[in-house]
Amino acid sequence: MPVVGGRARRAGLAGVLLLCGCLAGCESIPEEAYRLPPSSQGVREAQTRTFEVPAEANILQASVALMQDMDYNFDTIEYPLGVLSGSKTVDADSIARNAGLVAADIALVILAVIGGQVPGGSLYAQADDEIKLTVTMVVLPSLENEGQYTARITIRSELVDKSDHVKKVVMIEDPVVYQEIFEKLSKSLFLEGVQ
Amino acid sequence: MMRRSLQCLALCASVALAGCATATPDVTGSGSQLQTRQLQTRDYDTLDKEKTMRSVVATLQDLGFTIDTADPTLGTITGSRVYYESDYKNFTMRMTVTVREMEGKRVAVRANARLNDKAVADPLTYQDFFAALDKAMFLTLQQVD
Repeated sequence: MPVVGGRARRAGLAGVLLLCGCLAGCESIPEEAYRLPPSSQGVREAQTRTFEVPAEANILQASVALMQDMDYNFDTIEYPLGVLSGSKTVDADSIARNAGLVAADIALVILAVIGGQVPGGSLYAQADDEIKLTVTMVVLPSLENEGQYTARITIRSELVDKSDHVKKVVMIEDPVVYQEIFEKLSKSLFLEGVQ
Repeated sequence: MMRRSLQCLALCASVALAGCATATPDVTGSGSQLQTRQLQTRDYDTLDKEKTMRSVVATLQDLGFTIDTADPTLGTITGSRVYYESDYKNFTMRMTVTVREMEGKRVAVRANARLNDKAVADPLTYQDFFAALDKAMFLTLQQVD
């Protein structure tokens, strides 16, 4: 009799575990998923710059060239809305080895951000991991002043393991990264011959 | 006793699995069409269609989305985002927003959100999105003024 009782308890426990497991599989939307973070206004300012150029084509061409300078491939270009999206995948391990190469500076900052969020501050990326960077640029005529154009850049960084599982996702908010990109955009305008 | 336990286990399994899976794929959507539209739509009378679309793009950027497609003629913008909750626990969020001109210089903004493979029906999600859009619309309006 005690043996049957033990089996019954085990079967009941298995049922509860199965129920828990299945319910855990039914994900619900994270509460703050569509909520603006408190820092959004400051981040938006860091991500935005205004440029004064003779024509819209100048800033768009310079932006396209900038994305190419930074080794991004275009995923989407929606001209009338000024949307340019590009992405690239970098080897998490080679970034550390190749520090100083084109665009590695940005990726290093991103890697540092990812590493910094791990308890103990250890570098989270493994040798086989990759970092997928996605940049969205929106370049539009300024609503405030004629002849001026605003560019806003947002960057997402995903740390992906060799099985293509996303380990971590970070939106880059460091103003230094955006400062550097806007400096490169200014230089791109100069190289395009825009005064 | 043993048979009852197995029956209980089978019942637990069927209840749990029924909550997650449906026999046929959700081809035509679920819920009332009218209720869904009411939940997902908000009317604005402050900005025109083009400036509303600018505000929608800015809102999606504020919320960490990447713009996948955008069409100014049809007024549609689709963005996606991977939401990181914890290591290896991520959600893929996808949102399509449409902006339509209405009578009397009004525009209607409708948002459809999906989380992984499911449509989002939670009213709070849309309230949060439109609260973020309200802020972006306000900032755009300030630039116009």
